[in-house]
Amino acid sequence: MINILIVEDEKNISDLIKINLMEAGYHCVCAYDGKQAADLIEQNNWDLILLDIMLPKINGYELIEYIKPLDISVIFITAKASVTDIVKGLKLGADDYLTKPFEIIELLARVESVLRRDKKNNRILEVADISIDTFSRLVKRGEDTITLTLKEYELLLLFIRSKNIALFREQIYEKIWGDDYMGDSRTVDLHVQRLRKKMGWEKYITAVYKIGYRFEVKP
Amino acid sequence: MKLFWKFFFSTSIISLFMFGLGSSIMINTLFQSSLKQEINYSFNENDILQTALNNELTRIYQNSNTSNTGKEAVSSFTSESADNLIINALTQIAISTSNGSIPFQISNSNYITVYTTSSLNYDNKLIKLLDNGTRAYEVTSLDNRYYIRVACPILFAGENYYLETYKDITALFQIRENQFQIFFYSVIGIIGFSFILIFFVAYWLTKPLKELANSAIRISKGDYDLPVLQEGYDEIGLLTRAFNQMSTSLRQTMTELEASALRQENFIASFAHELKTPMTSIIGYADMLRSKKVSQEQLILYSNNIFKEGKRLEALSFKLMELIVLKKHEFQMRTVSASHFFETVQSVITPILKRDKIEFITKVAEMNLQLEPDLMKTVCLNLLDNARKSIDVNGRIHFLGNVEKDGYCITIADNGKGIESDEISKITEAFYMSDKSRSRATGSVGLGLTICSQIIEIHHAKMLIESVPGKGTCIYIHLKESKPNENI
Repeated sequence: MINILIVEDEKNISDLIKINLMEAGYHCVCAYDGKQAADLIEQNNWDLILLDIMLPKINGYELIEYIKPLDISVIFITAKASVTDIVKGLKLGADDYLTKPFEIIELLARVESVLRRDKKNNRILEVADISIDTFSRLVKRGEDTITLTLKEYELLLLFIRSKNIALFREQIYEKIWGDDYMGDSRTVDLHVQRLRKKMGWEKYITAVYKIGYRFEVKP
Repeated sequence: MKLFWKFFFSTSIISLFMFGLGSSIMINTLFQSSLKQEINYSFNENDILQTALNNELTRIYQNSNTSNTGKEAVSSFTSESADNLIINALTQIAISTSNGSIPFQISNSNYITVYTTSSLNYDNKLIKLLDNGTRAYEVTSLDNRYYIRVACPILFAGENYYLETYKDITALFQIRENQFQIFFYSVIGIIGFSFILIFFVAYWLTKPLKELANSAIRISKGDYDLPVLQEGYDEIGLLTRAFNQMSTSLRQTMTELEASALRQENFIASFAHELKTPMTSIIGYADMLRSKKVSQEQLILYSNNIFKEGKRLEALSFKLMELIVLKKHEFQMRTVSASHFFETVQSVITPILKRDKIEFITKVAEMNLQLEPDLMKTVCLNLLDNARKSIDVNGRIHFLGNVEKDGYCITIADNGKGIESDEISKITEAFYMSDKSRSRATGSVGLGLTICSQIIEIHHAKMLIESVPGKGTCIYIHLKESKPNENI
């Protein structure tokens, strides 16, 4: 189980992050000020710390100085969105920087990517009847390899990371193709349908009326 | 061109011109007076010679007359014989002066020289211009020597002769030349001397200017922490003083600007933070509602979060509006009696304090106050509410009005938990909250005291905060006595 410490003084935001990370299968603990966070960091082992900057008692910049020697990955989650703030945060040793307000799938993607960089994620993802080797990018059902194009593979990972979350067509388009969604494009539908067919996942990837698709598996 | 060279050239040109003018006038005047003297001498010599010659000639003429009959004698006097007679006469005349004999020459009426004692060859222009009975002189040069030549006519045996005398005045010209030479050398000396002198004077004069220029350059490069320059009492000193004043006021302005820029930056950063925090919750929970299957319980929980945060944004925008209105609007002050003002405040706050079981003590000294009652009421209610929030149990709040010698003082004192001394200066800053989580829970956005201090500023009043942590806080509002109907 991956342990994530959420350091955020605003309870609503803290809860929001916690709910979504728990649902994605991480173990989360919340700290509401810098001092409490420092105590928790000392007491437990953490794989990742989500850190707000403007905190009571000890602020995020001071806290990261304390975290750095411990070799724990840190993602700043803050309202400070200017380039200088981001650069300062990254220079201090943060692994990533997420500005408020954020979307849930962005939060999940960043957490995933930082953990992947640290190789703390499982190399093999097992979802439903499929196993995915995230290093060699091999997708297997039992012993049979399923060949996927690059976009299909990315789409598959996106669905797996966003279990039980309805993905809007524009979200999918923006994440996979990196462009702004121009509306009305059939690209997303075509790719999702092809992926569904190749994987034989008609019952898992369900269309959400007028919105997009949802990958449904029992947690 | 540098000021030094300008100064140098103008000064040397002027001094040389004046010196040259003065010297040449003096040299020429001296020369002219010497020349005049010499001419007088020459005339005198000429006179002497003429008299001597006349005497001699008269004697010869009488001698010849006595030897011959009158008519014959006259007629026998041909021009040639007259010439010979004169030559004979002249050989007997020698007029000596201290400088030796006076050189002279005689010409006849045809301007032909009949006798001369000098070896010099002159033209006869001068005697050609001569009228009967007049004398003339000229200054001529011959073989690099200068002479005064005086000519006068002599009547002898009915014939016109001309006597010319010479005087060597080369020495005079040489003196003048020497003087010019001395003048030339002194000019060179003056140039050299003035160069050195002006160099020091110009250095001395331009030194403060250079310092000024260096300081100006440093200021233009953004270095405002300059040492104050030495001030003299001349015009440059005035300039330096003006420059010092300028740099001081510039420094002040810059400090103020920097401070206000920092305040602005802080305000914007805090504002962005205060705006983004509720937005994060709203967007996050809304995102969950739209993309997840949620239970009824979760639905209520999430939408309640969205609602609460929305309310917070609303409160924030109202408070900001209030602040903007305070900054832009002009308010009319009115005369309000202190007791009436205190009563209106009391009527609002008493029920709330009663509910919280807080003892409320008011004591008002009567006086007519000049204020905007609604705004000042906002201040008092805000401060009283803060006092209420700071109290846990057994609270007591004093709300007092005292007459002071130059105004009126409103005091709000509580026995709550107080403010840390390092926080007192910060609490009027926008979005500053000493206890964030508690402030948020009570719906505060951290603009209350900012608005209060803004209103206090509008009233030209002063707010003083004293606090001892654990003992309580005391806030004084000093209202200055102002004339009625004054627009502020």
